[in-house]
Amino acid sequence: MIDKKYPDVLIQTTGLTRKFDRQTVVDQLSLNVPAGSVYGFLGPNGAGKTTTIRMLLGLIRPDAGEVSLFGKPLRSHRLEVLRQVSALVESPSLYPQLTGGENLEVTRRMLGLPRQAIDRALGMAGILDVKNRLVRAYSLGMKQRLALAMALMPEPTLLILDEPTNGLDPEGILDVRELIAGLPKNMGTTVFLSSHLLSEVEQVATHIGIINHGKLLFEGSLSQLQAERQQYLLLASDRPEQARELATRNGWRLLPGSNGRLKLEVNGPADAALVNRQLVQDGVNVHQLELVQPSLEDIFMTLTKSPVG
Amino acid sequence: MNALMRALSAEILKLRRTLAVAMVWVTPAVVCFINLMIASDQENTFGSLEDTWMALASNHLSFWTILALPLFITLETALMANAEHSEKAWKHLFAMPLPRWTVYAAKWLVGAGLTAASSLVLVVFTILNGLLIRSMRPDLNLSLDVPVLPFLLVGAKAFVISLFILSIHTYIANRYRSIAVAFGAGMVASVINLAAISSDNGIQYFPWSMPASVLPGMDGIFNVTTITLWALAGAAVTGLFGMILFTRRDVL
Repeated sequence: MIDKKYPDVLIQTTGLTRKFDRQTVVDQLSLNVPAGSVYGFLGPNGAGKTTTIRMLLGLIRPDAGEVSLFGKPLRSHRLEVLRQVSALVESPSLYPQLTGGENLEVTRRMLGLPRQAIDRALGMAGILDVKNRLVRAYSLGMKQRLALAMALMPEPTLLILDEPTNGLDPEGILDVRELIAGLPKNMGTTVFLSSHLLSEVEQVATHIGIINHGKLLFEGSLSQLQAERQQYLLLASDRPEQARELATRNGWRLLPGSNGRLKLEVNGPADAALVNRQLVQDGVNVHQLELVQPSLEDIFMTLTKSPVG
Repeated sequence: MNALMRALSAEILKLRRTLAVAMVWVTPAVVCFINLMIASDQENTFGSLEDTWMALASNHLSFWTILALPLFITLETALMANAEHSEKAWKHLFAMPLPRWTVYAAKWLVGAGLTAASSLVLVVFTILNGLLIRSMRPDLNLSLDVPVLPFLLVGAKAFVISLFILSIHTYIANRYRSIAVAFGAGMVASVINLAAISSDNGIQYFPWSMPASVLPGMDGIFNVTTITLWALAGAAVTGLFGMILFTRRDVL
């Protein structure tokens, strides 16, 4: 479904950096968002996600580095590339004294789109029935859906969404998730989706970028991220200090602690049995042994909680 | 130009159901109401001007040009900008494939349109007020021969001169997120205006005082044409600089 007139990478940033006062909010960020993907841009609150998105849209200028969209530098081709981009940044920007339909009409007029684009977008967001209601009477979830409709209205090649499920109820989250997941196939749209919740992104994303303290910690496909899942062994014994010493001496890699229990990097049940045997032979009584397969959430937490140098 | 027309069309739609539109007739109505109260005072003979209609218009225009018009522009520009500030809509507007200057220019043009409309409403209301006063105060000898064209001309001149104020307030209101800054600037300027009006040359140099130069009786003191040209030049320069400064800013 992806139009081959576009390059394989729709968003490319190189060394993107932005400081506010003296604090570096985005630090040497180099992103590559493949065409046809749903790219989950993950990071805790304050990681630099929204600042990055604002730079991708030309709303703020980077102190260093460059943004290229559709293979063209944003700085010199802003209008040309933005014609193919739509975005929902943070909270919805709506005019409360206008109806939902009129709010879309404001954007439609600015973009010079056909009139029927309004009903189509409202239908996609599932709020066609409240088209003529004043936005000040909308719930937070309805406003979020309206903002989403506004972003979908021009049928963009690239859709940038910043925390799009904020304020939605579980049903709404499910609807939006389905909508986003189907966009590459149904509209040929590449989606760049920011969130602080891995659980939300992993269900729709084909690619993941993880950011913290402005730095990119991981970028790759979801399967690549899953491959990073290193098994570990949780071990409790009567003499933890001696167990730690013995494990290190026997060449096992210790992972950051877990409430007095040893956490060792292992490769399967055979390793777990070997560790147990070594400790027992040296007189350490092992009373708990657990082989753990970390979840994606664990990986995300590990990555984003590691100190950044 | 097509982009400007699209931005302008969107800007006009945003006015729907807003206080900004209501103020177009409310402000002149307040001016007329005050004048009606003054006229109801039987002692008031509307000064020494021989032409009572022009004296009546002069009274309306004094309130309009010295106080109501500058405050109207302050309010309108603040309300229009606040629609974007309060909903953090600049990020949405400036992420669209439109030159940023068109969004700013559209706001200026709508502000000018609202000011022009309100000036026209003032002229209409002044005439209606005069006819009402005519029935209340037969002693004033107001004729039915209403000098519509001179009224329109004076209203139009005040409007053109006020574009300088509009350019200044369009920038202030859009630049600062807090509506208090926009209102504060308008209030302070209005207070200074009262002092400038009473000084010998204030009207010529203070943008907020310039519209008062069109008042009947000022013709001999000030050269309205020169002041109009100054005001237009000021409007153009301030408008252009405001637009450049505003559109180059980061949208945080």
